[in-house]
Formats: sequence, structure tokens, C-alpha cells
Amino acid sequence: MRVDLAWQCPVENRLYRISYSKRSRVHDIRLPETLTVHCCQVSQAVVSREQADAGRRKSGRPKEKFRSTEPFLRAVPYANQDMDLNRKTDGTGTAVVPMARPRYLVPPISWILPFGRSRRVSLDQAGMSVLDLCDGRRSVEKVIEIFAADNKLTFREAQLPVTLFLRQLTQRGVIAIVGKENE
Amino acid sequence: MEDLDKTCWRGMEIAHPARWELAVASAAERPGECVFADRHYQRLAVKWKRVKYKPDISLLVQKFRHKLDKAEDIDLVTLEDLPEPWQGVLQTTHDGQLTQAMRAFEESRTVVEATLVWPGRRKPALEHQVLEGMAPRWEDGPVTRWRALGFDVALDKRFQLTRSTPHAGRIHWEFDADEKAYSPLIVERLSLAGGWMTVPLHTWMAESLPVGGKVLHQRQVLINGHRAPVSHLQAGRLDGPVADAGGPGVAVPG
Repeated sequence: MRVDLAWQCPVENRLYRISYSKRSRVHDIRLPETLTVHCCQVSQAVVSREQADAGRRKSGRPKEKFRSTEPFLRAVPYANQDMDLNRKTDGTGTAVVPMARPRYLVPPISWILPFGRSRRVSLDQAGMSVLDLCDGRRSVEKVIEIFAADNKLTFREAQLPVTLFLRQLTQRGVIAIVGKENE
Repeated sequence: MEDLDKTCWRGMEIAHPARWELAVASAAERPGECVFADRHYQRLAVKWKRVKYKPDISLLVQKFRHKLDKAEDIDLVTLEDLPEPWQGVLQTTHDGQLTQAMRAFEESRTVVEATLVWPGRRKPALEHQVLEGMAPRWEDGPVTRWRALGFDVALDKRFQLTRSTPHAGRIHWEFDADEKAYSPLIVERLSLAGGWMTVPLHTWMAESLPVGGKVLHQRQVLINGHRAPVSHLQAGRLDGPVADAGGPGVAVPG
């Protein structure tokens, strides 16, 4: 037997789910009485969009040379100038990225291997919002910060999905990430 | 005085600035460990272990100091200004400073080791606050509190955390009270619900039933002021999928 329970917390913009399974013939199994799950508490680490737009928080710019993620966070993502971005009304979209013809793709190989002149990348709402932030002015850190603020996430919560997403976009030629030299 | 956040992991309560977020948390069968990092650096590492004997912290610190003294380019100072009964040393390198402190909690027979990383200069006031806010909570009542990664769960001590999987946008904790009979209690938190949740909650729950699952009855309850559908079901497979109805994630098909 199993009991499932779920609720959506609008304050945190999160969904909670509890599932309790037990090998039992009794139909009415109950969740443990001591179980409490707190929600509606936005962590202090979550910043507002205004704070994210305004600039750095108290953690400050590191001055020393401990092993750091700073070089990557300071890099700037640029959107591909040659791609076509088709936006849909529901906030999703498709990026059409022109492809360079590989040098080896000449007859007779090109008769066998088909070549597409462009690659289509479908993006959901979250993906489009991240791509819109890649304007060649904002650093990766800023993109993560704004995405976190918009979705009520902490910096670290947003860091992993946004970083992975930027990597996927880079692999597909939608953006390029340019590192900055140390000052 | 800085306003500190609290993390409770496997019976240990750790106070830390909110911008130091949990980066590593030890698994069930390992000695206790939590590592916190800010955006750029690791800032705090806490290790703890329950011991059978009464530990001599001075001796442990002395041994540690002796080991570090062999390394040449480290400037090492014994710290006298740590809150009682913490003992420790301060390492100064050309990159910054590191506080390494230890203490024993006699009533719970626990040894705790904390490493604080200070890029630039050490902040003694914050260091005091962090060290004083660290305490084992095994003996405090019948309920264990788990508070980490933005999740806050309290559950009686029979339940042990057997699995924790922090995916992007989804945190999944699995507790089990009985090792012999598989009876998992799964608590999950899925982020960005406003973005991907396009159907009513009860429909979404119905779509995520395990293989061969059959709903026996449903009702509504209020949890923290939110409406929550509860389904009692005859599970086809107890270890069947819990969430196949979609969830957060930034998908890039094509």
C-alpha cells in the first residue's frame, strides 16, 4: 500500500511531494505522526530581481588566489549573431543555427551523408529567459543571479542547471562563452 | 553580529551565513561531513564523529600542528581567542587564512572538526558565531530535524535518511524506518513549479502513479495552509517510479 501527498507552495514556487509505501494489507496506511515538512520560507540566500540587477552582494569580489570558480563566473556569454530566433506566444521558442559544411563532405561522401544547412534548437520558457540574458554584456554570474532571483532559487540552486544549460547551448552553437583575462 | 542560517544534517546543527551554501553532505554510512561554499570559494567544512572514548582534544590539536609544522611555507599560530572549549590553529598562506578548530561534545561523545577558509583576512567575530552555533542534536527529543538545501523536515528517530539525491531543481530524500521490510518514506521538493506545472495537482499526481498502481480513495487536506490532495493507492510495485509526470529542468531537444 502507498500513500501519496503533494502540495504547491506559491511563496517558494515549489512543489512538495511525500510518498510512503508499506507492505500491508490494511488499506488506510498513514504517514508517520511526527512528520512535518515546513515550507513558505524563502531562504536568506535568495535575492530579489532588483538586488540581482543592482550588482554584487556582500560576498564581495575575491582578492586572493584560493582555488575559485571566479574565472568561469566572470566569463561572458554571447548569443550567435547569425541564428534566427523564432518566439512563440507561450514564451517558448526555436533557435535556428546555421551550420558550416564540413570539409570532408564532398562528393561522393555527400551523396551518402545528408547535410542540414541549419540546426534547430527548441527552447522552453526557462531556456528562452536564460538565452535572452546572454546579450554579450552580462557575465555568467549575472545570468545565474538573475535566473535565481526570477525563480526564487538560491545562487547555488540555480548555478548547476544554468551552467549545464549554457554548456548545451555552446555545444549546439547557439552561444559562445568568452573568458576574461585577470585584471 | 551577522544573521546566520541553520543547517541540520544527520543530527548536527550548523550555523553559517546564508551566502555559504551547502555543497557537500555526507551519505548515511559515512562519517558526518558538510562542506559549505560561497560563489567563489569553499568556506566551511565540518566533520564529526561519535566516539566511544573521551577524546583528548589538546592532544589531537598538537598532533595536527606537528604534522603541519613539517610543511615549510606555512605560518602556523595557535589560536587563543576561540570560544571555549574550541581549540585550534590558524594557518596563514600567501592565499589567505585557514582556521582549523576542534572540540568534543562530552554528553553526546562527539568530536567535531571545523575548517573555515578566509580568502584575505580572518573575521574573528563571524568565526565565533559559526563555532558557537555548532551542536549535535541527537539527544534532543524523539524527533530528528533535517534542514538543508532549503528543505526543512522533522521526523521521528526511527527513520534514517538512506538516500539523498540533489538533482538540478529537484531534491529527493528517502527515509526508511525498518531495514528488513522495505518501507520507504520519500520527501521531494521540485523547483520552478510555476513554469512546468501546467495541469491541476491531482491530475499530475494521477499521471505519476507507479506501474500497476490503483487509486483506492482520495481526499484533500491542508498542509501549511496549502491544499494538498492525498491518494491512498494499492501500489503495483513499491519501488516503482515516483515522479514520471515531468518536473523541472531546462530541456533542449533537437
